[in-house]
Amino acid sequence: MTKRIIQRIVAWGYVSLCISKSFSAPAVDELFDERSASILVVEFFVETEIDRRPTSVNGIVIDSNGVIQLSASAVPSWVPVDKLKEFKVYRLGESDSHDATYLGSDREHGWHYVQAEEAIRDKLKPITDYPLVELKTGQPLWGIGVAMKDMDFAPYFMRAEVSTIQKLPETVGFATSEITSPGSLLFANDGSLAGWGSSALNMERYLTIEGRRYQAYLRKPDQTTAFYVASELVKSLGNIPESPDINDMTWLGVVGLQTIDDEVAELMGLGDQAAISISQILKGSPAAKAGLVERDMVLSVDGKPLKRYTPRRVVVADFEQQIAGKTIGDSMLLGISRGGKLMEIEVALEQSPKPVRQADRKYFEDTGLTIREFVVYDNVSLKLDLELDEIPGVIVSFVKPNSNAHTGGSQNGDLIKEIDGVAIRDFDQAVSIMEELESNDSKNDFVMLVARGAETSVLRITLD
Amino acid sequence: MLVKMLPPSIMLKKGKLIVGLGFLVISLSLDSSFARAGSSFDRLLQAVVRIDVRETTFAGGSARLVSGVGSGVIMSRDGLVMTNAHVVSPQAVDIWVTLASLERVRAELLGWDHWTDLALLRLDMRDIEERKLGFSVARFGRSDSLKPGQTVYAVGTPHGLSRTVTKGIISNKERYYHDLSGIRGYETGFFNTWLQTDAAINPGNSGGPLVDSAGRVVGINTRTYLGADNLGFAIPEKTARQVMEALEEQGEVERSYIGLSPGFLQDMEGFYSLEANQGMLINSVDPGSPAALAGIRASDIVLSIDGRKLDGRFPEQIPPIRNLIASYPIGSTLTFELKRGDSTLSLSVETERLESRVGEEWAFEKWGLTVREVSRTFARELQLESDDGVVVIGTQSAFPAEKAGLRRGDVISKVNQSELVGLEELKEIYENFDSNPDALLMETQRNRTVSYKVIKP
Repeated sequence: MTKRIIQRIVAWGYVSLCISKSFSAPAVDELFDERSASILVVEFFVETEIDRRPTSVNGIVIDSNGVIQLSASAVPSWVPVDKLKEFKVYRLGESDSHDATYLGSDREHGWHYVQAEEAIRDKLKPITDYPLVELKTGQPLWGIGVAMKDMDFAPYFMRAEVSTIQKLPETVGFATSEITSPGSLLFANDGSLAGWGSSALNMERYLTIEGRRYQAYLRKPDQTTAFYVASELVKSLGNIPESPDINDMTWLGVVGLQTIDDEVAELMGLGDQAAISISQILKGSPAAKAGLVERDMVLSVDGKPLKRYTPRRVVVADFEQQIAGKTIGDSMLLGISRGGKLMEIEVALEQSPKPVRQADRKYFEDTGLTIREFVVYDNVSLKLDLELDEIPGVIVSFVKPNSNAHTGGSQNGDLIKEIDGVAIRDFDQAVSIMEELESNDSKNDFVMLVARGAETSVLRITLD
Repeated sequence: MLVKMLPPSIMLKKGKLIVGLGFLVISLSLDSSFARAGSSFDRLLQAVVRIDVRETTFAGGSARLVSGVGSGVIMSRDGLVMTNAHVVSPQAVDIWVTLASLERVRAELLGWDHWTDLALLRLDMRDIEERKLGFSVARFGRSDSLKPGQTVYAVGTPHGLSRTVTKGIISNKERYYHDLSGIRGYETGFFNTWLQTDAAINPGNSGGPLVDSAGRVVGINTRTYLGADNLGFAIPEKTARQVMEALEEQGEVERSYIGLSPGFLQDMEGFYSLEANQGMLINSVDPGSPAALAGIRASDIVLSIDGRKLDGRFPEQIPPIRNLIASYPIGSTLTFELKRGDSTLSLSVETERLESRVGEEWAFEKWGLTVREVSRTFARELQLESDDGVVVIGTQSAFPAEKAGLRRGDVISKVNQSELVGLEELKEIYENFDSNPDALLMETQRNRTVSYKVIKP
C-alpha cells in the first residue's frame, strides 16, 4: 500500500531542484567507514516444489545481538517460513558469508528480522549507537550505496538533499536524487542517522523506438530516492516475534476498505471528516459479531477521528496499521455512520485466522500437484461467503509443468471440491485420498471436481 | 485457439489486418460438374449481395457510428436475405444491400440470433418493385449429405471486393471449437458444429453462402482462423434453415435454458463404469439455475433426457445435445436420467428462457457514460449478489462520469443511496439531472469492493 502511494508522490519528489552545491563534512570518510558496519547483505533462497529462487537484500543492524532488520517486501508474504532456506549475511566489501537465522516478521509494519551468527556480531555496529537528526527541506544528506555481489557488495558514497517529507502513514522522506540503496542507510553531514532506504520508485518515462512512443515505468534496483525517516523509524524498531511462524496478527474481518473522498463525504453529510467505507464483512469475524454491517462507514477509532492524509487513500493504510498495532483480545471502539445515523460499536479483536503462508500444504510428485489447506481468507479471493468453520475443499497451490495434473487441466488456484466423487471436507482427508491414489498400483486415473470462478470442471488425471 | 469472426471492414480500420491486393486475384476453373450446373450456379451468383451497414456502438462513453461491409444471400422471392449476426445487429441504423445487378436498395433487420451468428434481412420490396429491379433467389442444399473432400464454393465480398467466388472442398463436416471471443460480448457457437472448408474466406465474406457445385446453399460463411491458411468455417444449412424460419416468424429464436455446462466424457467412460457410447458429463451447473434447483450436480452423468439416450463423449457431439435441450418450448418439464456414483436417479427440470449475458446498452451523452443492463447471466458469471444495476462499458475523458472516477467494468448499484434496479431507472434519473442538475452520488462495485463516486453537472 505504502509503496504504491510513494510511487505517486514521486512525480513532485523528483521534480525538486538538484542543487549541486559542494560541501565538505569533516572526516566524512571516517564516518563512512564506521557506518558501513551497520549494513549487511542478507542472502537466502525460496524453495519451491521444483526449484530454488535466490534472493539478496540489504538490511540494517538494530542491536548488539546481531539482529538485522529487512524491509517488508524482502520476503514474499505468501512463502511458508519452512521454505525460506540458508540465510547468509555478508559484511559490505567482504566476500565471505556468515550464517544467519530467520527470526520472523513484525506484525505492524511487516519488517523481517534475521540474526547473524555470534562470531561476527562484535564487528557490527547497531544503528542505535548514532544520534538522530530532525530533517529539514533542503538539508544535505549522504548515503551508503551497496554494490553488486561481484564487487563484494562494496559500499560507495552518495549524496543529495531532502526534497520533501510525507506521512504515508509512516514518515517517508524523498531526496533530490538517489541517496542510498534500498535497505541501506543515509546520514546528515555530522554523521547523525537520517533514514533507511526504502525500495526505489517507479519513474514514468517515455521511450521512443523507431518513431513510436511508449510509456514505460522504470525502477532502479540498486538505488533509491525514498527513505523511512530515522527519527520516526527508531520508535518501532525490533518488534521481534516469539517465533518465526507465530500468528499474532489481530483480526477485525473487514474487506474492501475504501477511503471516502471529499465530495462524497460532503454529499453524505459527513463534512470534512475522514471516513472509510467497508465493502464486505467476513462471516463469524469480530466485526460480524460486534454487529458491523457491509457499507458501514468508519469515522473514528477509540474516540479519535480518523486522520486526514494526502493522498486520501492513506487513511485506509493508517486504519489497517491501527488494527495491526493492537494485541489479540484488545477492543476497539469504532465510530460508525450507517445510512447517515451515527453510532459507536465496540469490537473485540481476535487472533487472525491462519494466513495463507501458514496453511498446510503437500506436494504429490506422481500427480505433479501441491494441495493447500483452505483458509478463511480464501473466501475473499474466491468470492465465497462461507461460515468461519466451513471448508469447501482444498486449494491447488502448484501445478508442475507437463505433469499429469497439468495435462489433465489442473490450474493454480483451483478449488478442489471432490476427488473421485468424494466431497473434500478438510485438508487431512484430501491428503489421505491423494496418498491412497498415488500408492494404489491398480489405479490408472482419477477424477477431480474443481471450481474456478463461477464455474466448475471435471478433470481426469492419469497416474503412471 | 484464435478463431475469428470474419468482420466487416471495422476491423480493417483498426489495422488488425493488412492485406495485399495481390492475394485476391480470383482464378475460377470450371470443372465438369460445375459446367453442367452452370445455369443454376449463375442463378446463385445473382442471389449473392453485398451489405453495407452503419451501426451504433456504445463502447467509448458515447453513442458512435461504425460502418462495415459483409455479404448475404437472397433466399426468397419476397426479399429475405440471410447474413451473419456479426454483420448486421439490432444496433444497425442503416442497411444498404447491393444486388448483383449493381443496384442498391435499403433493407431492414427482421431477426437476429447471435447464438448461431445468423441474421435475417428483408429488402425494401416496394422500392424494388417501383424501380423494377431484378434478383435471383438461392436454394438450400443439404449440409447433412455433404462429404469431406466434396467441392464447394464461397461467394461474397472479401475486403469489399463484391461477388468474389473462391473454390475449395469440405475439410470437415462437424468441426467443434470453443468460442472465446463471442460477438462483441454476445455468446455464440453453442448450438451448432461448423462446416470447415479450404475455400479462401476473408473478412467481408461474412454472411455469404458456401455452395455446392450446383449452386445450392449448404452453409453461411462466418469465420476463419486469422494467420492460418485456408481454415474457414461456415454455419451448416441444417442450422441456418431452422433459424431462418424462426427469425422470419418471430424475429428471434426462443430457446430453453436449464443451466448445464457439458464436459466431454472422452476416456472417462471406464471411470464412471458406463455402457459403451452413452452419457454426457456435467462440468458445471449455474448457481440458481433450473438444473441447480432440480438438484443436478457437477460430475453427474446424464444418461438420457426425456427417454432419449445421450452420447456426449466427444466435443463435436456436445452442440447437438445443447441444441436438443434448447429446442424444447420454454417451461417444458424434462426428465433427466442421471448416474451419480454407483446410483442412478431421475430428476425433473423445468426449462427457463435462455438469455444472453449482454443486456441493453445506452449512452448518457452529457455524462460521457455508456452502460449496459446487468443481465442474470452476467450477474452469475461475475458472482454478483443480484442482477440489479448497470455495468459501465465506456467513459469519455474529461466528462462528468470519467471525472467522478467511473471506469469500464464498474457496476453501478445505487444512486443517491437508493437501489438502482436497472437501465430504465437510470434513464429517468438522467432526465431529471438534465432538467435540474444537482450532484449525484453513485455507489459502484468492482470485485465486491464498494466505492462511491459523485457525478457533478
